[in-house]
Amino acid sequence: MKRIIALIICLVLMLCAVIGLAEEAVVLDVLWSGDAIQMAAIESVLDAYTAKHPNVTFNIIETVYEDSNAKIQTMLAGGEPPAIARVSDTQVGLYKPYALDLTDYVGGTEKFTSEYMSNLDSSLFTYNDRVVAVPLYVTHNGLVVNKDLFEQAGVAYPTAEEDIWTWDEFLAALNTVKEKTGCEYGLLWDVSVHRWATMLYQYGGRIFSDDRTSVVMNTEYREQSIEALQCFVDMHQSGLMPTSVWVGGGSANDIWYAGEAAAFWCGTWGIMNFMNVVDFEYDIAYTPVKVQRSSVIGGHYTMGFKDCKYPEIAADVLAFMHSKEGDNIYCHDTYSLSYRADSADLGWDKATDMLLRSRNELDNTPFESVNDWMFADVTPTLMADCKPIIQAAIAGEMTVEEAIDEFAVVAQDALDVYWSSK
Amino acid sequence: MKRKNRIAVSAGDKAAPYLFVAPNFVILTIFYGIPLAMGLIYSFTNYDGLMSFSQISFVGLKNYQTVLNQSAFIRAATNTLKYAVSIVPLMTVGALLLAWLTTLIKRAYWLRVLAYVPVTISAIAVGLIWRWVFDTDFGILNSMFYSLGLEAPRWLETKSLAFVVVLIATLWSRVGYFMVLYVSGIENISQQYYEAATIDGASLWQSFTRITIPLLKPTHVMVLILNVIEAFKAYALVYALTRGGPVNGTTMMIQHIYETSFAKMRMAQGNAMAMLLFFAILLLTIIQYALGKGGELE
Repeated sequence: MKRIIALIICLVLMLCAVIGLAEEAVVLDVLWSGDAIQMAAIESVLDAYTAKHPNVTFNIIETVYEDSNAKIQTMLAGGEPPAIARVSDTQVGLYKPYALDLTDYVGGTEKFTSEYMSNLDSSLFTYNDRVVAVPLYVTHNGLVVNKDLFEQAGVAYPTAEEDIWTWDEFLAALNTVKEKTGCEYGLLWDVSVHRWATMLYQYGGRIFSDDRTSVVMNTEYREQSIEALQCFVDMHQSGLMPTSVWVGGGSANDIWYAGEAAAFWCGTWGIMNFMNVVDFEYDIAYTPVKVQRSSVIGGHYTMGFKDCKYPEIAADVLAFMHSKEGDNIYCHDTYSLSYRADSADLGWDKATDMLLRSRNELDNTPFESVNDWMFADVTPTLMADCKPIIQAAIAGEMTVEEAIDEFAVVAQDALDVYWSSK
Repeated sequence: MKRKNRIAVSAGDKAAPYLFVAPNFVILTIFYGIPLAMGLIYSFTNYDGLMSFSQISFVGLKNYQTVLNQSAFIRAATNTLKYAVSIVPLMTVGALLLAWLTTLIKRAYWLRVLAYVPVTISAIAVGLIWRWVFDTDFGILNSMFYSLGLEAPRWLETKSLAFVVVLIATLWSRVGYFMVLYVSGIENISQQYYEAATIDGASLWQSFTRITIPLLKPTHVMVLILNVIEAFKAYALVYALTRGGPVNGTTMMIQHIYETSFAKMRMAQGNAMAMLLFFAILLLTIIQYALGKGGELE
């Protein structure tokens, strides 16, 4: 009898221990950068996870995007990485060796990859064929137009595929809007090589060869590269675009917010924020065509880190963020496009038309663009070192031909560093 | 018994200075000494900022060779040197004259306060304030040009003008700090020298050049050393004002080091650059100290 009682007590104690373990309160550190809309959205996603797993809560560490690299590196070097962090497409490559392996949590690499857009390069979120990052949302380099100024000038902009304008028509339209409305500039363009590259592909150019072993922009594609950059320089020198932004370090956003530009070539990820700042109507128009349509895919990812406190739970949270439910909460609330193939239209109220045009631009982005920019090990160098080259061409410090040659040298150096590390 | 006590007191006396120095020594070692040593070690390795110790390997002088062959590094170093050569004399002379003026004018405390207020503003805010003044599209200065129907200069789009704007902003924000050092030095000069000079018929300017300037030698040495160190470490103000542009025309060493280390994740190269900068500042400080004979009056 004593033995039976002792056994029962042991079993009860074990059961209590198991229940206790199962419900151990867990707090995961989440390093996140973003505006108010994005911060609210990640809270909603994490709340949805907590609703399913009440013992798991989150400590969101907010950081500005510019400092996120330094912050992650410091936390990693200090041996206390965050459980989860948001990283951009140019950062994701840096942290792959330190990332959590999510493969088993998302149903395997093949299944995971098949759930995303077809022209997405899966090498961006895999490492040694293992899934190490979850795509968060996709954006494209697009064209936002000041609807009021276009209407005032009586100029139409394309909102249907069959009306897509050529580069000549596009430039003529911008000049007309500028002349008729008296706005300061026809076009603004984010200061970023990634953004500039959009027109490189539209002009038929590219940076790297298919196998990414050599730079072709100054060899087989030299003519197209020069033509694209020459057009960009001409737009500045003619006064259609402000030199203060690309050369003088001025803010394109400030000019846009002031309603002094007809159009803004920018990443479309944050266009809903314009709504809170500007007092004019705006819209997304299709970008122009020279020899082909193109955009440049950009986006953000979510990663976990191997040495974090609760790796298994972090991986489970990331699997939830990958699921249609988690993905759709974030993308819907932030007015973003989802990377998921089954989530093209999330019904974003009045932004739906604009975002579906964005999606169409992405669907019509050629391989060359994806090949060049979904190459996270090299893009940080392109972004940092090629920008001054384009600026120098605009400022007239070097010819367009010299700039393309210099660009190619920098790109080749970046490739050499990459391949020598393999 | 007396003898024993004397020995005990003597040992305590010997230990006292070390105990007083110990807290500072520990703090300096932890926050400066060890990071400096780590930086020096990393500069000879392939460290990328994230590797574990087992992955780090020594690469000799490779990082230093790479860095010294980099046109971007040479350009940043040249910009920094040009900036230091320009701002140090401007700041020193400006602070000295301002201090002299405020000691000449009765009840000039308000002038000192006015000159010192910008020192209390953060470097980033100073950069943004001056950007609002010189911005091509929205700057106060250019708005005045436009309202007068004049063509406005493109201050931040021309390398030489942007450089001048950086000097103006730096001078405005820091001259008050060095002025205070000079005011303290001037007020420590005995009035007897000036009274004797006045009896001998010396003018105000002669008193300034023959008495004030020579007797401020210890302050000159300190101001110059601090000024040079500040100039070589310039970053936040310049970055907020020009973003290092136009076309890297105002990119200083610290900005380049930061971008190399964190944007491109070449931490070892960044450390090599930081070491070069450290030894350059150290060398210049030693030279200034030696030339100024430690600030001793002759």
